[in-house]
Amino acid sequence: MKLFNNINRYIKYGFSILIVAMLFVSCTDDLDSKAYGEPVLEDFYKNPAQAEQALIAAYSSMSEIAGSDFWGTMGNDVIFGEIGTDDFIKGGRTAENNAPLFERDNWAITTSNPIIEQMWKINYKGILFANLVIENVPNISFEDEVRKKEILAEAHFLRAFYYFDLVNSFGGVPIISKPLKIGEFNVPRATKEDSYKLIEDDLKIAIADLPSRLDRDASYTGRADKGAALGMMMRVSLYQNKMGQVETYGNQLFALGHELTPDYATIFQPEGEWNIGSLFEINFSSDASILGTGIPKRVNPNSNRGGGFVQARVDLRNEYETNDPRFGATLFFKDAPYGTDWYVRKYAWAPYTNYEIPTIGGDNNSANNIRIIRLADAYLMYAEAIYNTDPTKAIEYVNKVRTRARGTALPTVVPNLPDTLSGQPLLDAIYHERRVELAGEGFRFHDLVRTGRAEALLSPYGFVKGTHELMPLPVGQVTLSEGVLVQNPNY
Amino acid sequence: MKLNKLKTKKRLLSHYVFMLFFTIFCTTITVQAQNSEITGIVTSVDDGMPIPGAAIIKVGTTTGAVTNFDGEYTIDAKRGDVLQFSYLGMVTKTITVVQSPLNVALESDIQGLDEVVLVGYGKVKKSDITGSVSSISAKQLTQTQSTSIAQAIQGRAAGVSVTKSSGQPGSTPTVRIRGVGTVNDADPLYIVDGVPINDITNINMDDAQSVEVLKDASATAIYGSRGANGVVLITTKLGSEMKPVISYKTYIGVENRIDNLEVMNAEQWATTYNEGKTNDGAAPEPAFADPSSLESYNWKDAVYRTGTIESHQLSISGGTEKASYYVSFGNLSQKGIVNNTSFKRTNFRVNNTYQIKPKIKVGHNLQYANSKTNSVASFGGNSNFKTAFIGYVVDPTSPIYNTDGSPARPLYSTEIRNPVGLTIYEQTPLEKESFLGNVFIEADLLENLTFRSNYGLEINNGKVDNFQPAYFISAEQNRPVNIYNLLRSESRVNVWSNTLNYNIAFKEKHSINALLGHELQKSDFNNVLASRSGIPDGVENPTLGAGAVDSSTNNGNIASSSLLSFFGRLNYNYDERYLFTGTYRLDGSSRFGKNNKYAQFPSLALAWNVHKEGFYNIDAINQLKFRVGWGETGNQNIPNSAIFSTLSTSQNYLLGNDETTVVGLAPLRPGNQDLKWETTTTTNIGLDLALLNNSITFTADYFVKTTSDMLLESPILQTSGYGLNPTVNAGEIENKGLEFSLNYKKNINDFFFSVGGNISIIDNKVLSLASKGSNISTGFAGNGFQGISRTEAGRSIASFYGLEAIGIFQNQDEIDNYASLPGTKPGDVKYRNLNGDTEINDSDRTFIGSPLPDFTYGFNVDMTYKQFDLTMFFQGVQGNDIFNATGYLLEGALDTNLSTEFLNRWTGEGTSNSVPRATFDGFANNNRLSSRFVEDGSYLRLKNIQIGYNFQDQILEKTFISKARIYLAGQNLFTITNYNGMDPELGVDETQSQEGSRTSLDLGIDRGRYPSTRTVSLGLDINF
Repeated sequence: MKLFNNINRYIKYGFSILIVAMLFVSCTDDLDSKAYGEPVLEDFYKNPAQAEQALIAAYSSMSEIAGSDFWGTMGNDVIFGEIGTDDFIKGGRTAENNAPLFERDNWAITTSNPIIEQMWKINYKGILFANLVIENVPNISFEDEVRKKEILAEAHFLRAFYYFDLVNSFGGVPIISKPLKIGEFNVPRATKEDSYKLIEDDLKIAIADLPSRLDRDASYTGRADKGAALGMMMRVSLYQNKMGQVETYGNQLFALGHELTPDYATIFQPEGEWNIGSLFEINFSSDASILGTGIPKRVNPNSNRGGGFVQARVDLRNEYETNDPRFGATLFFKDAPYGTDWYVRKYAWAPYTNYEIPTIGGDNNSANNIRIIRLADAYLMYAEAIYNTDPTKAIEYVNKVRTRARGTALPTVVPNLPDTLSGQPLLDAIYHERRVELAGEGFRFHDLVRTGRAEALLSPYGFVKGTHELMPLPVGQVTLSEGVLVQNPNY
Repeated sequence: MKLNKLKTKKRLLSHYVFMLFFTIFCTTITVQAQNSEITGIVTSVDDGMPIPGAAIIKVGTTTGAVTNFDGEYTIDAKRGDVLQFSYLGMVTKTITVVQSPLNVALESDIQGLDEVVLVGYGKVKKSDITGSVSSISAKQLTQTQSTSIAQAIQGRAAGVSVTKSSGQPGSTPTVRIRGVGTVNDADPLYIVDGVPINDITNINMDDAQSVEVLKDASATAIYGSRGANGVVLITTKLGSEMKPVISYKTYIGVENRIDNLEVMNAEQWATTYNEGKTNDGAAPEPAFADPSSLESYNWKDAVYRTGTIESHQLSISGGTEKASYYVSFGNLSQKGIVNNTSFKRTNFRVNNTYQIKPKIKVGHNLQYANSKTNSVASFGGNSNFKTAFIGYVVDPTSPIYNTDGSPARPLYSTEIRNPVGLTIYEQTPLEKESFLGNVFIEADLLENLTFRSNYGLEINNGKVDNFQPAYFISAEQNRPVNIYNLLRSESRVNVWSNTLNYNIAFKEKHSINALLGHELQKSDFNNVLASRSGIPDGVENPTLGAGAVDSSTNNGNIASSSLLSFFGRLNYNYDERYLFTGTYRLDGSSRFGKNNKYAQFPSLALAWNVHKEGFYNIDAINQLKFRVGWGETGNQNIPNSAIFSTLSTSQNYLLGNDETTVVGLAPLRPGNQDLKWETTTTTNIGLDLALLNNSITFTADYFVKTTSDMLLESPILQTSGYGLNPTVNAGEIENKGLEFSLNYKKNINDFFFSVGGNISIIDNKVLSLASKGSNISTGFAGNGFQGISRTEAGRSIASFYGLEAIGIFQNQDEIDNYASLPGTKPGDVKYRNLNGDTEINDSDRTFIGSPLPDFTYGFNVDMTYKQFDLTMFFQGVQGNDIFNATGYLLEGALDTNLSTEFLNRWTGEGTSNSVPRATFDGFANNNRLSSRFVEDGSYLRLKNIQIGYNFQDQILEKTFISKARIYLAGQNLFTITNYNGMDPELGVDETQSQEGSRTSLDLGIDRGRYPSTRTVSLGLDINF
């Protein structure tokens, strides 16, 4: 009996050990990690479809900085960039609401401003995504070699786009032209010239390899094309005062077949998206994909569910010639407890435009495309570049813009510039035209800085020459770099 | 052999030994006694059950007696004699005879040296413990009407800090054991009956028999990779071998808010508003020409009501020699103090054990729970999105309701939403259903060798079905189209552990207890989220499908992880004098890269019972024990996929004429295949003292707890382009601390009292972070406040960082002679010019406070007099700072209501050096992130007071009730604090756990919340 018990015990004992042993074997496999829902980097960038997907990601940072990222969107040139200029005040509900924008409003920008941090961060994110395309796509075999070239050219355009935003805001920035590994990220700032060189080199590739959207079907709309690259190249050249280059690329651009759309008032309406005079836009829509923009939410009046930011100073309102139809197409009045009560119509909602207030995905999911380059802008850049060498042609291009502005009104409204105009008066006329034609689109501040007028016009609002041309680098980044990133002067 | 038997069995055995001994003893002496007889029954205070085998001795004589199986005794004694009643594990009672029958109730000795405490995968006698373990008994647990286990252990154990994060019914308090040792998840590991659980909300504390908190590494290292934050072991109740006990407990209470914050009335506010306008040179508001004539609206109370709480707990327990059972049903229902907030929970539990063969026992503990929480909007960092707080900041001149009774738009505080509207239109119902259970088999394989296999399962299902109607209050506050939100989540933990336990004593003085085990754990999680809008009017009971297809959004996630572990423990005891414990655990985790799948966690501990030494002869000190321990534990709480460089699949863009979504893929975070465990090394030195027959017990521990290879999201330069930081092993945090607990108890005739307290002093310091000079910036509170807290080497974690406010500029001269801050006028805040340059800017920021307290403490007083009992429990923290982010609005934003503190504002030279002037323009300067908003957060709070009455047995005898107690209890009745916000008790802000922010570093920031409650309740406990 005792023996039986013992055997019984041993069986039980042995049995449990057996179970335990089986478990060990069966479960070591379970310790393999799994990544759910997302592909692993090592398995990606292998075929043309993945090349396209990688490229789309490089576009997506644009919609972040002009749409989905809260502070990134605040930092967009059409908001942060316009505030504190002689055109616009911060606006909003009260003088001080939204501290990061308020800092720009009174030119007391702190190095910890979240807006500049997001500007820095998202642009570099776009640069990484573009770099991943530029680095990996050449190794992917394509049947359609032309498309492969286009993909790379689009990526170059996008990289230039992001670097240009950085250079405009911060001056020379660290140049990162390929994906880096952990430990390699601490790159010092390059000079402004070298940064611009990278931008120009990228744009040259884009100009060479991209088709014009006018030569492609509608499915190409939204991508960077030759016109976008040329327009961008003109702006890049203008901001460096390389007027010869502006002219050269302008001539190439004007040969593509773009025209000014007849009615100025339609440009910023839904039907104006990608009109024949549009060179580049950031696409947004208001549906369940939540790829809408938050800019209209910021700039609509409080009473129309907006933040009420960016309100026009009287100075800008007075800049418009009498009866200039662009005044009403650009600005509107809405009484509110605080501010100048004049708001920008260009990115507003119904009833101020035909864009509906979003019903899906919240107020930050608006459909307004952000217009980046318009042909009228290119005409005025061109005119500015040649006003001294070829005033007649310069006047011709300004008058194209003025004629379109006039629309069906009498010739006395926004009359053509006299042919006799030249020298400083012509330049002033071009400056005036840029100001009213492009008001609220985020160019005023850069125009004042590049033409040396910023101190005279902006110091009443707190602008300090030698400091505020550039934004400070985010203080957290400077600290983290342990001194490799050098802060801009006077911050 | 005795160690691993169940407590009940042990108790029975000792009954027999005592009875036998005393029967023999007594029969010899009773013959000589010539006195009259005294009789009575000895019962236990805990459960009212008779105690068989209790010893009664007539003090100063050799006369004695022992109780029979029904607890009855008879002893020769007369009036005036002093009798001493004693029983193992109970407090000895000495009573002067005044009458017969003399019934005596003995209290269980919670500090009893022979009490058995649970440790990981086993239990040991308290006297044999070598590590730092705090036990909290069922009695202590039920002294407060706590809705969660975490709340019940608050202040009860040294080194355990529990803070309530919100008064929202059903919310879970924050528990930290021995400080915050990591920037990652710092929650302790909770184990219920051997099953590690994810969610403690649905644990019914009335089912808890005991809670043990394992604090030092020699106790927690057996849990290896999950032990670093401490371990809380919860044991649920078991039936015992006696006739069935039916117990019914209930209480009902009313709750009100703790409200420390006074705001202005219409007259005060309007005056301040116009003063601000005048100061800024603007036209005053004409409507406020006569502030005293303005009607004042009480926004502060608009969404509040008197809350109620009601609890019913019914349990039946009992057993035979071969089986035991405990069955319980519980129901808790709470109506929150904010309109439309509530919590309801229903629990069932069945715990059974069966001795199926003499050497084989099987059993199970099963719980089903269902809870429903209804909460109102409280999101983001901004105070003005927190429904429970908004009422404090709306200007008091605006009517709360429109004439038609609908919520109105505030007239001046236009940025602020109407809180009444939020409670109506922004509710979220969350239903949780959970199953928690384990089945086990225990077999005595050989003499001294026991095998135990335990399989546990926890399932938590979450469900939100939320139809939100369209509404319009104002342009700022409306929902143009209705929406139906749906959430389904499922989480599941499977655990299977197998242990072998070997016990042997040899050569009289040696005893060994060895444990060998293996454990497998798998956790799975998945969820689905979806929404649709535009549900047609007339659909009475909306469903997701009723909404418009083109408005549908959906999302879903899956995560899983697994752990494979082997562990062992060796206890060696030499002559009860020298004790040794060694543990070892090998853990393999799926969360780590190929190169570091496995990690080892060893620990060693020694203890010396000095009082057992031959040379020891101090009578007053009857226990003197030194403990020293060392061990390593781990933390594996990183995202399951941190080792991978994965590509985000939602970097999308719109292309084509019709702007259709095109999918884009790109990496957001660089992966790290070299990831390994975060290791926490703890050294602990402890002392246990018992004086004057255990009437005074004292425990002291000193520990150094260092976390190294911390799993950090290492901030990388943004030039990398990665939006998210890679997880790396870097950084070290050290927590050094002292813990003391002291208890004293005394019996004077019918009067019993005990006082006890504990205090813990923790010094936290970050030794290093990912790279030199790096810091972790956390703490977002909306408005202008972000990066409130900074974690940096050489400092304690999450210290407040900002400008230092050093006063108010009294005149223009002072401004002119000081570093410039554009826009500053007399009456504005003066900040310290730290770097001595000519400007006040971000480089003048410094550390301006720490949310970590110097020490935390708790003390309790228990008294019993005849049928009455009184319990008081105080809890406090000292020396911590709070960043009162609500001050952004309450102390200077003139278009919102203001704290009455602002009545003391600067109005001219010499009027104030702390509160700035009223101004709209100077607001931004005055409200910079500065020490102006840092306040002392120390407090002392009467957490609980309870007065009870036990009905006399004589009365109950005639009824079917065997025991009845009625009590009146109060929670949070008073608080002593200098803090000006609503309530100084701040836990982790639940709204900050979204978007992956680190809640362990979100400390001491008051954004305005659902306040804690003051509760008064009436309760009844009955046994049948």
